[in-house]
Amino acid sequence: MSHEDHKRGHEPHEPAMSELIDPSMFRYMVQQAREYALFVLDPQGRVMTWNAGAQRIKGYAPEEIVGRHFSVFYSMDAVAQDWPAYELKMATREGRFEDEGWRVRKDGSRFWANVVITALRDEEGRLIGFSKLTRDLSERRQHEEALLQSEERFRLLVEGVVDYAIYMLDPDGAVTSWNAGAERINGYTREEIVGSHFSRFYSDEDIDAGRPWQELARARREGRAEDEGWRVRKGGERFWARVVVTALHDPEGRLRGFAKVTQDLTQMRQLQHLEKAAKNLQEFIAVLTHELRNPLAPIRNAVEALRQGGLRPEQEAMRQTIDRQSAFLARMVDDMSDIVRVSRGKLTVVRAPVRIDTVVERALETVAPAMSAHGHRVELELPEKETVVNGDADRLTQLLANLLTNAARYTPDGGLIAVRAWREADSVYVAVRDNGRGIEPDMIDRIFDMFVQGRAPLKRVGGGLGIGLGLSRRLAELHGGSLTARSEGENRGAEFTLRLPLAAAAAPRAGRARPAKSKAKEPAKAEAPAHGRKVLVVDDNVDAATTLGELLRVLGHEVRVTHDGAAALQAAEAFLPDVVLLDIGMPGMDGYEVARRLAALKKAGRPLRIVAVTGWGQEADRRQAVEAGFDTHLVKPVDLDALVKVLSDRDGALLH
Amino acid sequence: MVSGDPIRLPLRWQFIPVKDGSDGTIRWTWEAFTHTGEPAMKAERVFETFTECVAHARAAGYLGH
Repeated sequence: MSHEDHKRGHEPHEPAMSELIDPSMFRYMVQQAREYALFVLDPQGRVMTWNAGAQRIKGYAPEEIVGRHFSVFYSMDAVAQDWPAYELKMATREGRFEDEGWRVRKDGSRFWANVVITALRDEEGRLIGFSKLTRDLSERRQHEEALLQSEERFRLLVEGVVDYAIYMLDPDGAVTSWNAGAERINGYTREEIVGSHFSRFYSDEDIDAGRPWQELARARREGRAEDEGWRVRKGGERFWARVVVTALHDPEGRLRGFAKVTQDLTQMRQLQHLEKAAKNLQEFIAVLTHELRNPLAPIRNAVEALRQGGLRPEQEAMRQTIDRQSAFLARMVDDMSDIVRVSRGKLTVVRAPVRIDTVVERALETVAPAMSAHGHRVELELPEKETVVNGDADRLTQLLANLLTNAARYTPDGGLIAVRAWREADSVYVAVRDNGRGIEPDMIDRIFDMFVQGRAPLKRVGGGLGIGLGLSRRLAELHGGSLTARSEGENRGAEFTLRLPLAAAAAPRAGRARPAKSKAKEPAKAEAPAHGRKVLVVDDNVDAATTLGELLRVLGHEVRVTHDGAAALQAAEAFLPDVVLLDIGMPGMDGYEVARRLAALKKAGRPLRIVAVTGWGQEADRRQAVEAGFDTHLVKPVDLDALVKVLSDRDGALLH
Repeated sequence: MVSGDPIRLPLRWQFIPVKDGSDGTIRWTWEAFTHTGEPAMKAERVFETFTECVAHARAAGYLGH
């Protein structure tokens, strides 16, 4: 017999459930149920019964509440509005009344209740009372409220965002919401745009190409779509936007619309373009610096060679003109190299204890020609006590020379330039004051910017690139110091003050710095070795090679000149040079390769110094040269002092 | 007791670059003035370097030496 047959066969003989259960069971069930308040009211609303759930939820014991009117469970406001009576009236009329709202416990606390009141009638239909079932839904209510608050906060957050356009689209692409950022970026108010198709934000050509619809299709297909491109504001102005479209689905997976976030990247894009342009400019300056060094090298060589005498007075005057102007060009090229270093963050200082009076004296030596040309005098006040800073003597000299050169340039001829150095607390200050044309107040803050000239030079010639002060301030900062400017105004002079931290007391005693650069012209003869060296000059720039060779001959050396790597190697075999001055950038075999092959000769025991002479002066270029086998590295145009040193110095490389 | 010696203010020391007409090189000399601008002392010669010039001025009283 199947289960169904069994069921069917027995159903007619089974007793009803109510027949099986003792009626007192229902009473117990009601009395002991704890999850619900279940009680009976008489037709006037007085409590007649009370169960465990009612006691738990409302806090009254049966003896405290039976006989009292059920309005005690309502707030004063609800009672004042006659709400309990209304509930009974509705339950009487409709048979049942359901409500949800705040109710009051015995202790006065509130709870969120779901209430069902059912009218109880006898067999004749007379009202005999009401059953009332109450559930405490406070937790659910709190959860819902928290959710509502959270949604409200999120809505306010989204609406308040101004940096991003955040809005919703329906599945067809019509705008359904709009935040403050969208209004700011796209230019439409909420009233203007809600309901419009989002393709309004695209250019005509993008619309013709179907891009808005492609974007939605991709978001629908892949969940989200990202894009970057031009969009159009309300007024027709274009802006560069990054857009993310996210498809929104309901729990059943139906597409409900899209969330769209748009970021206006116009400024960032402009900034990127500017950065790229600045980087290109840096590269250009680096190449330009190199290219300028090449023609400068033979000019400087020739001028130095001519210095050795034999010129008529008018020729000597012309030689001096070439000397001054080419030296000025060389300084500008050096400044440009420093710009490249600053912009690449590669400007470094090599610090050692150095006396501040030495630095001042060296700087004054350097600017002596400019001071002399303008007939300026220098008033000098140095600290009596030996004052030592931990710094790069060359860079500090360069810094002060910049300040002095500026002072000379912006002061009418016959001016007075005062240099005053003094100690104060843990610092030494060096102030350079002139009685020149001064600085406009609104330029004081800008004069340290690169390429800004705060005051027109008295003569255009020698105006410089407008980088000296920016570079000087950077150098001061690299030493842990500062550089400031002040001026009483136009034609009232200017004062620049350098502050540097004093070297720690334990620092080793500072030596006097090496002689000033301008004196390099004098020692050229004095420091030249008693006997000449055999020097091989290798440079594909014929002028550079020839003039350098001529200069070396004038200095008393035996010289061979070649213009390519292969010839250089042959000459090295035949001529047996002591020193090879070798250009790096040559066609065919470059200087690095020549140096590598020459280095092999050195290893075989031949005394030989290999010197790079190149337009590339960055630190990386020097490192690369050393790695290739060069003993030292000179930057074009070669400083005569450095050249003499290389030819006479026996330290650090094979040289007999 | 008050000293009867006159008050001696420090001089203002100026260093002047001088261009040599024959070879174009720059040399230095110094002059010292009172604070009223009256000439007080001068080097009477030129020096090859600024450092030498300052050293000579020191010997003459610059910076109290």
